[in-house]
Amino acid sequence: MSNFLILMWKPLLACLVLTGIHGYLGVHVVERKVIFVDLALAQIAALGATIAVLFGHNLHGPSTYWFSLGATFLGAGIFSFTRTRREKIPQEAIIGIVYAVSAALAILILSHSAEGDEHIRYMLVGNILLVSFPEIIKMAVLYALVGLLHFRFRKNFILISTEPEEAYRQRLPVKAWDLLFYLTFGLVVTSSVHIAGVLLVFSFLIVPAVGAMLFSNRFSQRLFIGWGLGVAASLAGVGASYAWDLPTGASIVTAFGGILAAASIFSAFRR
Amino acid sequence: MKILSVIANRVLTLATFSFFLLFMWSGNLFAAEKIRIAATTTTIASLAKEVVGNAVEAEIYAIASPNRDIHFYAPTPKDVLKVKKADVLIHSGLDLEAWRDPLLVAAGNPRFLGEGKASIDVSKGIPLLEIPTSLSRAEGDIHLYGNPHYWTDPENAGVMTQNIAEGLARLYPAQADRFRQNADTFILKLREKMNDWLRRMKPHEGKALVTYHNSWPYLARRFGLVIAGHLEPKPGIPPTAKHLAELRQTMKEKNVRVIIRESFQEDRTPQKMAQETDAKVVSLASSVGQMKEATDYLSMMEENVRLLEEAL
Repeated sequence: MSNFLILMWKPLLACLVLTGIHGYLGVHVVERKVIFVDLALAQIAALGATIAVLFGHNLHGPSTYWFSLGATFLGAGIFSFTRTRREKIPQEAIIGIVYAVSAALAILILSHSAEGDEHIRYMLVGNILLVSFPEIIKMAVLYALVGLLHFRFRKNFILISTEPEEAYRQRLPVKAWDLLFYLTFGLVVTSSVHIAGVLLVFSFLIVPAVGAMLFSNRFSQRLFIGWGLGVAASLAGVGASYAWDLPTGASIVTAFGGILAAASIFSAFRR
Repeated sequence: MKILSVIANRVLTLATFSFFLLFMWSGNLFAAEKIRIAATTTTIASLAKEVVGNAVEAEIYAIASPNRDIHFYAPTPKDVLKVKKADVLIHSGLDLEAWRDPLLVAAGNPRFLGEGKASIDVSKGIPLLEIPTSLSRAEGDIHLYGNPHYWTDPENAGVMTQNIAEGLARLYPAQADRFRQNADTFILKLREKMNDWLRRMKPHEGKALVTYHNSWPYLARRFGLVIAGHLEPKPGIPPTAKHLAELRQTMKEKNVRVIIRESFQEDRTPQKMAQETDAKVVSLASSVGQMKEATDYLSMMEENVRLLEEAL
């Protein structure tokens, strides 16, 4: 037990921080039916970093971070601009296109540099086992600020996600709020992916929200159920990774899958 | 009578308890003498085993699995635990192990962090090939110091063994002579084998071959082989159609009979190229344990030489 805590407290703490913010943002994302938006934004961030490398910056330097953040904000702009009141083209299609094109662009840019593939892989595959304490603190402070902003304007944020038609009727500047949502979302996803990798971030975002949908229709209830599921999956995944010496990120994702399956069976019997 | 039995009981309990304490204490004594060594690769672990021999009781743990690309191994919880509890870390130096620094930070073992002195860099004093002249990533390599696949030359394995012996001697002066003696014995054996390998490879001197990744320049130089090209257009970039077409031309011109790959690299491109140029694909072991014949450094090189001899 003591070895477990000594070794795994940092990944576990990082998981709890990730659960906090992604459990919340996930409810929005599922409501908006833009399930793969985080993958697209992570890929755009990787493209930004790739462009920085092309200009001779160090892959892990601060200037590269600003490049990828800039690219993410551009992506946020695209997603808020393409969400229209009367949707002709499904937004999920646009998200998919942005994902594919930015991934292809990154490959094209890096095809002329050595170890090209690995640059992209490194940006998208974090290793949560090796997360450092300063990284966790930085992440926690950033996410707390984003969380505070969302809490302050929760009425508008929740309204544009759950009932956009009502928001238009109330004459809210929906596009501006959308942009703010995607800006903050992009900021969070870029940082998370760097630490935990795309697979894990996707699971933290989507699985708790989907699991919570099985039990409740109310936003606040879904949020708390989601957090509960997130904590359970983190504990189970990190525990399994330690017990059987498995890759930590993949263990947590699998635990998420298992817990969602268990939750569905439970909710089916409850009815 | 009853009092006697109580006293006997007490004495027995006390004796058992003292025995237990003594046992625990001697156990601790043993544990203190056992050196825990974490080696970043299986090849380094194999050389360390030769140096340690029976000079001290040691547990040698190899971190990276031999069946993956050594640059991009993903450490597991057990790796972190082993590094955390290790007394000595032996690593490849340079920038071979991209995961080494994050792993050391995560393990937080002060012996290996910052001013920590219990790390041994086996690359010290090895003359490196392909040291980049400019630091532009677009043209060169991510390896800033030169090609880090140096252990495929048995001569360099000798230097690595020396480095391990000197490092352990510095950390455990009481056993210094034993470490140096073991190293010398191994290097002597290595030299003997080397003469045999050089003799067997002599007829193939000057022959050209192609490799998948640029991992074999040291081996090629030692045995007088010429590397005509790589399947990867640049290290880490998957083969492209135009590059392969050019390479096919080169292979025909230089009469290349052999394509070298490592077991974790995909087999489709090498097989296709081999078919088109009438060459053979040879899977060599670049780490100890990558194939079942490569149980230690000497058997790994023996197997590599045997496979090359057969194919060339």
